[in-house]
Amino acid sequence: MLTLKPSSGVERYFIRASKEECVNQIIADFRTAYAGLPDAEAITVMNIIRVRAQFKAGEDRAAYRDGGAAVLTNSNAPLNSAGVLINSYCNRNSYYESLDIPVTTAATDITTGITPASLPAVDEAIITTLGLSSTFDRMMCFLLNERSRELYGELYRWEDLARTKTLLSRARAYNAGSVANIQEKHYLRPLPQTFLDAIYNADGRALTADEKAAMQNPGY
Amino acid sequence: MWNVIDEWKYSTNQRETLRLLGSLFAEVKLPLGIRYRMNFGPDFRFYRNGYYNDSKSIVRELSAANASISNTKDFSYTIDNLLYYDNKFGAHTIGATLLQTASKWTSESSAIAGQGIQVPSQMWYGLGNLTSAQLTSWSSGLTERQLASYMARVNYNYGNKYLLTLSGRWDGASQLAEGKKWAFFPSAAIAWRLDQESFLDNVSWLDQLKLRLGVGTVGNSAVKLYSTKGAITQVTVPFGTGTETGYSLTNAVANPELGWEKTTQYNLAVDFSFLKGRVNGTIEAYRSSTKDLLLTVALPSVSGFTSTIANVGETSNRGIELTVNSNVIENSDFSWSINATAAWQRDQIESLMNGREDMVADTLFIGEQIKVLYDYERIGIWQDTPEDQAEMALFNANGSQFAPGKIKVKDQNGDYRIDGNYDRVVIGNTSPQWTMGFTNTLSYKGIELSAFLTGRLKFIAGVGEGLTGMYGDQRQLDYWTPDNTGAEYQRPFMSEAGGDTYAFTYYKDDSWIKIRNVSLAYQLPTNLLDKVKINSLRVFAQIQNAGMLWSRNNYRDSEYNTLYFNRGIIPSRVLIFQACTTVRAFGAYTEAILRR
Repeated sequence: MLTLKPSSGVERYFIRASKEECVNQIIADFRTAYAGLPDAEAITVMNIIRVRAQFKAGEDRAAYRDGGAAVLTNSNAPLNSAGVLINSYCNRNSYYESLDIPVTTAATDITTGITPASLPAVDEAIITTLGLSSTFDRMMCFLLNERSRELYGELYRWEDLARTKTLLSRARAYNAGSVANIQEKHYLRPLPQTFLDAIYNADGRALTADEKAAMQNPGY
Repeated sequence: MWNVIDEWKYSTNQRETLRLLGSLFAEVKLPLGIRYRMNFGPDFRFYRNGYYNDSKSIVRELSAANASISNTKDFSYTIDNLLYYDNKFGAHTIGATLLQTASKWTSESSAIAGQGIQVPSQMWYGLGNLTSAQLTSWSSGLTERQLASYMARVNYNYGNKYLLTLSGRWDGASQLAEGKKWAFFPSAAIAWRLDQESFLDNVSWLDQLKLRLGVGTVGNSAVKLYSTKGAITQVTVPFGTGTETGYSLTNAVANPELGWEKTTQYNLAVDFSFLKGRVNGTIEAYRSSTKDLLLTVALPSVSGFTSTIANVGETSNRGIELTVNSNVIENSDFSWSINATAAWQRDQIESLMNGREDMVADTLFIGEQIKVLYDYERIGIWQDTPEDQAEMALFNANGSQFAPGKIKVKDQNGDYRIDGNYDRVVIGNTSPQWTMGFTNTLSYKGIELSAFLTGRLKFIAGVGEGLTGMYGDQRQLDYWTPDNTGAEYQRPFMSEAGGDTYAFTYYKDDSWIKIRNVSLAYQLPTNLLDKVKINSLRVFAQIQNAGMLWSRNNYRDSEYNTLYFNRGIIPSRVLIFQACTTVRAFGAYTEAILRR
């Protein structure tokens, strides 16, 4: 667990853990330990994660092809008549072109100068859009942003936003398609009807329609 | 490029079956009128399926040619040991039979498939030329099943008029659970040959009239083999920097209590034969009750399993069956015969797993038939009228998405909320109440033409949801538009195919009568075949699934529940070599059939 003086012990723990464990641990401990944790310490802990995302000097940023390497040796891909794999494999990404920045291999720094009152510009923009002001809310927002950058596309997002009760505010601010429909009940998902139908009471009695309705999550 | 015209050159799917059946017996006469007989019936079947798809075939679309071969070898045998005792005291005839029998069935299979075949003529015969990376799948397997039985039977006959049969058998099936493998099945039957009575002596047109009454219990142990054992499957899981092989339970939890399903049936029948055998048949009425039905039962998925096989509840069934055969014309060269059957049945669930509790997840309901459909009740289509708009607003306030032209379902409890807990009902039964068959056979010398008509009546089915815009080739639908408000199907709308709950509620009567089979056969004359030592050679062509004579829903093949008809014309020949010798009381009979 996170101690309140996270000098060396905390670092050792994080170096050995997977990224999901790190981030989950931060969220859990951040919430319980916040009252006694100096704001600057929280940033220190966060930076352990953030520093991994920095580009080192001389690093080619277009060399990362997400999943592309798998296709090169994919045994399930079809073969052409000469027995050679058919694929449209490219070992470069479009980092510079997509971001419209000149090709550079200079080191980046995304950890220096972050304080609870002055978070990175992208996070401050989101905080402003969501209209958050308390230090806790600002830091939670920063944490969730960081988690989405770290675990993008890994299907944890709905659960993260639902359990931190930030789903509705974020969906309304950023998901124009769902504004009209999203409601308080969406913090919980409906229990499948097939599940309710297959449940029996301890005495072997099937659930009545009323009992099934009572077991269902509110609003469904 | 490839095209369909050349496809037959490029894709081959060849199935070959070799089956050898044997029947051997030995019989010995023992003192005191006792006979001993042993039967041995081996059955060997070898099935081979090879396919080859060239890279120019439609399935491969210029990617590497693939091929596979799979072999299945089935061997089963039955050994019977029988003791007979027959005796006659005046008008009393007594017969007794004791039987011990054992059978075993073994199925062994292997298959391999690969891609990158370099020499087309090798098809599936050169898979050894592939590298291990080019092999796409390989498997092998073994399944075994055994049945052991003991049976005792007594026949009693008085003056050839009154007949009585009592029997009892004990069966043990290997696929059932430990301690539940064995069960006892008794039966009794009495019959009265009315035609043997003196008061019917002067009825000249009557050949045979027999009244039968029987009661008996039969068992069913047809469960998936090893389903009492708790199968595990191999899974690959990411672990550390690579993957490791792990084992996991399957979705179906094993039931270590699984036993026999037992059906006790009472039947009353009349066998008749009139006009020197020109008309004969049977009328039979039955009533049965089945206990401990073998059913797949849904489990709540949080248990880690989605289903199990269990002995569930009790059902009853009753029905009447009629069979009539007639040789309308019977000359030395030409004959015409008719065979007709009709049956009515109705089953009902009496109790279920926990007594009189419905099992909604398995759509089993006390007092209903066994196979029913349970869903929302479609009662029409919403219209663009002020009354309907007002109704729809009440539903839509509770989460429905009704609009003019969409399906209207019945709100069973009237709370303006369509809800799976309150508003689904039993729509109807899916097993036909009436089944019938009608065969006409005309033969002239060695040529035989026969047609088989069959039908099933009075049942419902989901007869096609009619989702406009979902399928590439959609039949013409009568769908709702503001100008066609009386339409049968709802209006097309976006996301309809993606999950409109009510689009699948088109349940209707699906009765049908079809021409299942028309066949034309020629039996080669025996005097010709005798010269080449062939027992029988029959050449025939069949039209399978010829078409509907009448059906409620003419766009579908209701028998197979498909939206297309799989018709076929199949030319075949069956060649039978038989070696048959009888030496005193020993006999041997083998039959080999090669089909390709």
